[in-house]
Amino acid sequence: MKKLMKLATAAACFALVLSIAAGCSATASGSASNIGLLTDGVLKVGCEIGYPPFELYDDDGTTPIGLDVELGKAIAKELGLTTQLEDTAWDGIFAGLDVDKYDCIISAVTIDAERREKMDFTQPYIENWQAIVVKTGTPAVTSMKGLDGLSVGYQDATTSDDYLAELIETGEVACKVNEYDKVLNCFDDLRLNRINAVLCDSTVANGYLSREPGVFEITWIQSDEPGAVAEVFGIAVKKGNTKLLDALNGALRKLEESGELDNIRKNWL
Amino acid sequence: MDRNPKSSNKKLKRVAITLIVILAALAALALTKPDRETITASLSTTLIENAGSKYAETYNDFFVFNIIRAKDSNTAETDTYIGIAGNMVNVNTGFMKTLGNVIIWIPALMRGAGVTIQLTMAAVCAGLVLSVFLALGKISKIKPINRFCSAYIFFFRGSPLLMQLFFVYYGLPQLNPAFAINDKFLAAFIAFSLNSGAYCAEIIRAAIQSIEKGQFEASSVLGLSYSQTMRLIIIPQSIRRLIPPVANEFIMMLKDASLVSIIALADLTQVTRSISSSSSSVVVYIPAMIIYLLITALFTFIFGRLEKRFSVYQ
Repeated sequence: MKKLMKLATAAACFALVLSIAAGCSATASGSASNIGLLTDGVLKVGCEIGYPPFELYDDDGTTPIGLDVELGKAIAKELGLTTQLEDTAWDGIFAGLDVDKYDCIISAVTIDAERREKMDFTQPYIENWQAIVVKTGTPAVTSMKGLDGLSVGYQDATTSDDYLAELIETGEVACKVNEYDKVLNCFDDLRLNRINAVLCDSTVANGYLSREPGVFEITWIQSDEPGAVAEVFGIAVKKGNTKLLDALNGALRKLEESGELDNIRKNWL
Repeated sequence: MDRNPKSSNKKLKRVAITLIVILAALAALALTKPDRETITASLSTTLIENAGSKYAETYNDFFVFNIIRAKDSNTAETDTYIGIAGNMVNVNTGFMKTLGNVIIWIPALMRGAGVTIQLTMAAVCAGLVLSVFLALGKISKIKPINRFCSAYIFFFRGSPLLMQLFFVYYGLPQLNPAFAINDKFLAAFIAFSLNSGAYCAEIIRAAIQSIEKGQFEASSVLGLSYSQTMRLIIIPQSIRRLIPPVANEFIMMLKDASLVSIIALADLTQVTRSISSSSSSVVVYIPAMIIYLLITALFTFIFGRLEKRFSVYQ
């Protein structure tokens, strides 16, 4: 009888373990909803709000708007999800992806070799060049070399930062650098003549030029240089999350075909 | 206290000898370190050739040793040598690579630390001067002066320093272009000293009011005027009491100085963050925090000395 009891207990334990394991695998596949999301039905998007025209707050100070915000919504609609924007400082935005703060980053992220090693990127959704912006009426800077001796502003840890840092390091350009947390503040200081020029993405520069006509002008753009290669923006996902990557790429392709991606671009650039 | 002149002479002698030995050793190191040409010649020629126009070289001389780094900006490949006592030590791998990185970063970190220290010292000193008037105003019985000083302290203690800094730098020029303060250091100095003034005013007020009321009464019985009482009796005693909280304010301000990254002023924190982003590693935070600790230790030591010196009144 005792033996039977023991056997029964063992069997019960075994069944319990099995059911827990089954439950686990069930929840795992359930929450991932087969496209590798953190929360079922919600696409959590990391972005640094304060980078017009890609992501910025509307005049009410609480509604995020911009090209990336619209793109995120369009993709989520395509996939039957809702979006949840996670406003993050640019400093550390990539670290947030690694620790699962959000599913993907749609924040004007340039695809480059160094970043490719640390995360996966979707197909590019926009082309971009480095550009020099000066205030209208001040001397035009028509080459990177022309920045010599000037006071130049750019946003910390962006491709503009890398581009200029390399030229300074190799001794091609000698200028005074001003590193800002936000590209907005670069333009604030340019408007007040505190700096001579801003180095930023051509898309960002165009956004400023169209919103405040006559205040700023682009005097150099990288695409004029022989042999220059365009920077492209992509959506970043955690390294190895191929399910989500495929889903996002699929959605991007559909938006491209339907012309909606073009509409979004035209709206903001 | 050592009051025996003979033994203090002996002590002095020992200190002098140690100093001379250390200086001689440093001088020997400085004289034997390889010169720039020699250490440059040891760099990998393949790296230099491959890099072509994208070649970058960093050289730093630290008196007793020097360091050189060749970098191919295309591939981010580097070759680094430390020159010490006639040797060229290659530091391309493992722990030595980290050490080489830290040494390369030191000049930039020190420039950042210079800005941080200057800003802190200037702001707290100006704040202290301002705070004497604010504190006297706040304990004054003249209503308008009292009201103004109380309101000032309420405002600057009650709103975030970050906002005050942002407002001074970006907000004022929008109110009126004549208020534009275009020098970043000056803008930071103004915001920080106005803020520090409010905090120090409370420290000073507390120190003055901590002196027993009886002393005011005794002074007036002796026929001293208010200003004489303050100058001769009260303030000398309160100085000793306000040194510890002022030291505290100093250290707080040292760390608050990191807020200046919002106006793109390259202080120690800003430099650290930009090195961290360009090297994609957080190792640089270690030397940076050590520098902060060294500055704090120095201030703590100085204020400890001051406290001892002013304790003669007690």
